[in-house]
Amino acid sequence: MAEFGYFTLLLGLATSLYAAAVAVIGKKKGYPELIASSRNAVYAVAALVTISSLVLAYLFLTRDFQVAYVASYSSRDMSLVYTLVAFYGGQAGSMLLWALILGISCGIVVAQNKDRHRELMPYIIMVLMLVQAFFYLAMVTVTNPFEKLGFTPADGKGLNPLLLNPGMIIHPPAQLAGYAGFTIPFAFALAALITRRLNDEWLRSIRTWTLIFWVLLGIGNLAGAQWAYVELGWGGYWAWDPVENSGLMPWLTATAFLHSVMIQKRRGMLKIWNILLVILTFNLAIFGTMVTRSGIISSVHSFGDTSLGPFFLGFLAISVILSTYLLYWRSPNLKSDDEIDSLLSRESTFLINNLILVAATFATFLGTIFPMITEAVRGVKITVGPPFFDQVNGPIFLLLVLLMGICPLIGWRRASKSNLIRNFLYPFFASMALTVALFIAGIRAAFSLFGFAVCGFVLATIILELYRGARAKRRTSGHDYFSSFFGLIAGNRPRYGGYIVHVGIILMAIGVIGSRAYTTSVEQSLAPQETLTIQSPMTSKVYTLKYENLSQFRTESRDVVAATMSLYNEGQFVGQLTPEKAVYKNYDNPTTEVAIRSTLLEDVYIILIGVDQAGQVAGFKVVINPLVAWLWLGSLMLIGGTVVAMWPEKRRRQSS
Amino acid sequence: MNIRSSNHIKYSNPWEWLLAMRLAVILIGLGLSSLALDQPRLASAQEPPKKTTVVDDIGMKLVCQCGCNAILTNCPEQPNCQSWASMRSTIKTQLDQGKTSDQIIALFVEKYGEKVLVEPPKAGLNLVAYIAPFAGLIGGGMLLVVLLSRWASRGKGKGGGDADAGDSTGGSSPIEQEYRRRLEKELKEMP
Repeated sequence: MAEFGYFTLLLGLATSLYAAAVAVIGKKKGYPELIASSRNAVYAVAALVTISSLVLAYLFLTRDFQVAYVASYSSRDMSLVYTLVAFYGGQAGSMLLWALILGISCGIVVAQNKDRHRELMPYIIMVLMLVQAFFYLAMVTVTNPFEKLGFTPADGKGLNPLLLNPGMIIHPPAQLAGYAGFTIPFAFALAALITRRLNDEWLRSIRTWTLIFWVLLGIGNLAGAQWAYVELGWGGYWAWDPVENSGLMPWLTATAFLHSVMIQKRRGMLKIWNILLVILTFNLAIFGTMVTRSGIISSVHSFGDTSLGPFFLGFLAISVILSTYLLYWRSPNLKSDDEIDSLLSRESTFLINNLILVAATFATFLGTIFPMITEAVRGVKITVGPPFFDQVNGPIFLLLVLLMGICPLIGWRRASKSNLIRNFLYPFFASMALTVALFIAGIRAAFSLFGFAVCGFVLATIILELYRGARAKRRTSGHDYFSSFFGLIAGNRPRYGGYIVHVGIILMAIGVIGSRAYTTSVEQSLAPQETLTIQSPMTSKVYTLKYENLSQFRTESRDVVAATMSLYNEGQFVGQLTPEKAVYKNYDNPTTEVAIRSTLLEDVYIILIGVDQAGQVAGFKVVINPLVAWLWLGSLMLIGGTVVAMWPEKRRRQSS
Repeated sequence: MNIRSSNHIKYSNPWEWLLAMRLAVILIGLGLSSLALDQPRLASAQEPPKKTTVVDDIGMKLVCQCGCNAILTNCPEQPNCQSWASMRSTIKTQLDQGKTSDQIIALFVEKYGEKVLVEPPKAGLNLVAYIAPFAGLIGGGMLLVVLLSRWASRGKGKGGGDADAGDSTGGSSPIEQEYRRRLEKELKEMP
């Protein structure tokens, strides 16, 4: 079976190269049959990569430990779900998943555009299939998921215990889908450059694709943060780790693109900039895959080795050079159709928004690769950790949040004094009132206070805009406010979906500011029935934790030590929590299973550090993380808002 | 109405100037805030006291050398990580001997090199990493203002004004805007 799997990879590689070649030859020589053949080859690639994936899944499910990859990442005691998670638990499987997502997406793109973009499609197929071929080549030559051992072990090693978490069901596939999916806008952009068909036609075709993969990458990043929070056991969710940064960067540039593309659609401007953003996003996605899967930069999220590093680096270099040259070559054809009317217009604020997003990407990229730069220039290894990113990216992100409130409410073309007063006066006063209220409530740290004020301002602008919209709708339709509000959203889903996304980002920003500025922790050893107390710096609540007892038990795959703790909030019993330590079969280091009591205000996060030899005295670390729940709540709104924005408009049967 | 020459940016509308100034002030303010963040003791003077131990505080400035790439205090492999245990033990011993935080950190730098620090020291080449993003942002911002002013001066006299500040609250429709755009384009192309 493994041989058959490898054969499908070889066949997939050959078919994708064939598709790329005949698409271009067919176009250049004017043979429509060849172009049709390239389309069929794309479908064949989609089928082949699906078969390869099914073969690997079958090998996992049948516990065929003769296959090295299956033996390395699964074991007999693993549940069905985690056996399937093991599919992408290592480097080779991740490459196959990347190829699977891209292969199927390519099939859909080609089917969707069978009778459209006749000029562009051959070149779109060429780019898509060359990228697909690269991933095939990686699997065929460097990281073969079907490689066999010379013997059959009785059992496999099993999945890294850190990956045995429900977050792993969502995080890697969403992240890889986000990375892989940005190949589609990239292919359209390159095809538009090659064919000089640089009008807005190609942009319209990629909007939904970009939105889908943008939100998937966002889900991947957030699920990764949630996984780190509950699984890594250090009390935080984002450590500015190279892998985390690599997921954030293409998301930021894709966000910039989703905004600046509106200007091109409405005003025919920023054509070069938009293509540049698409190119940047794709190459950052490749960079992200390289960092995540090649292990080229050490990271707590990296579960790969270095064999793929040079391979990816070569591909990245070729991709950057070729796409940038193509853009430069075609830049004379990318002149703007229109001019900006005023410095104070939505176009201008969108450009500033783009500048800030790109600056945040640049800061993150620089921080991520700076250790390599220093080593190359000075021969000294350094670390660029969270304090650096907090100092550099913190203010940039806050500025971005502020602009998020200003941009959508400034008129296209030119804003006037009345426009500014009408849209910003009440939110300004609301944010001032919030600042005073927070100050009185005891929030005194300048950056936090400023941050919350900015969030309040932006939230007020959005609420005001929604209220005015609903009021106007109510006047015209005669319905109540509730129906008018939903009618308003249904009437312009992209616009109001965008507002919901913005609200989600604000909630996330509130969560980040609160949890970064007001986290506190205490570490203490306790004998049974002893207590520890910790006061929340934000709410001043005093939490008491009583260590009740310790229990030990064994499951098929792990030995567990669990401490039962009673949590009291201001003396009132809240509930019992059981932080654990577990030692998994085949893995020596124990893993931490934290216990979290989460409310909208704050999380009480308990880590069992260790137990003494007698099995009585246990060491605990208790962390109070304020407002973390807002981060997850905001994440859900971000996803919900994107779904609203993408939801297809109802067909107007009456008018037709 | 208007306007600007090629040498000086003038704002036809005081609100434009006001917004530009506000953005500049915010940029400078945020830049200063970031510097303030670098001085945790000073910046957090108003913040509630944290209950972390001195060992944890020092550990927050160091990277665990087990290869996890995490802050020492947050090493995901603790307490079984040998590097975590050894480094914390060294911190405790040095504190008992009366060494200050700075002296202890210097000791670790001597032993492991700069890579043991959680953030690069603000000196020499490292300054590039701290300054470049803000320099890029400010430089890009200035370039953007110049470009926007140039584009705006070319686009003056095209009518418009406070267009759809919100589709829901009034303003011209996209169709009207399209017609207006075409009209302006044709007027512009007239001999």
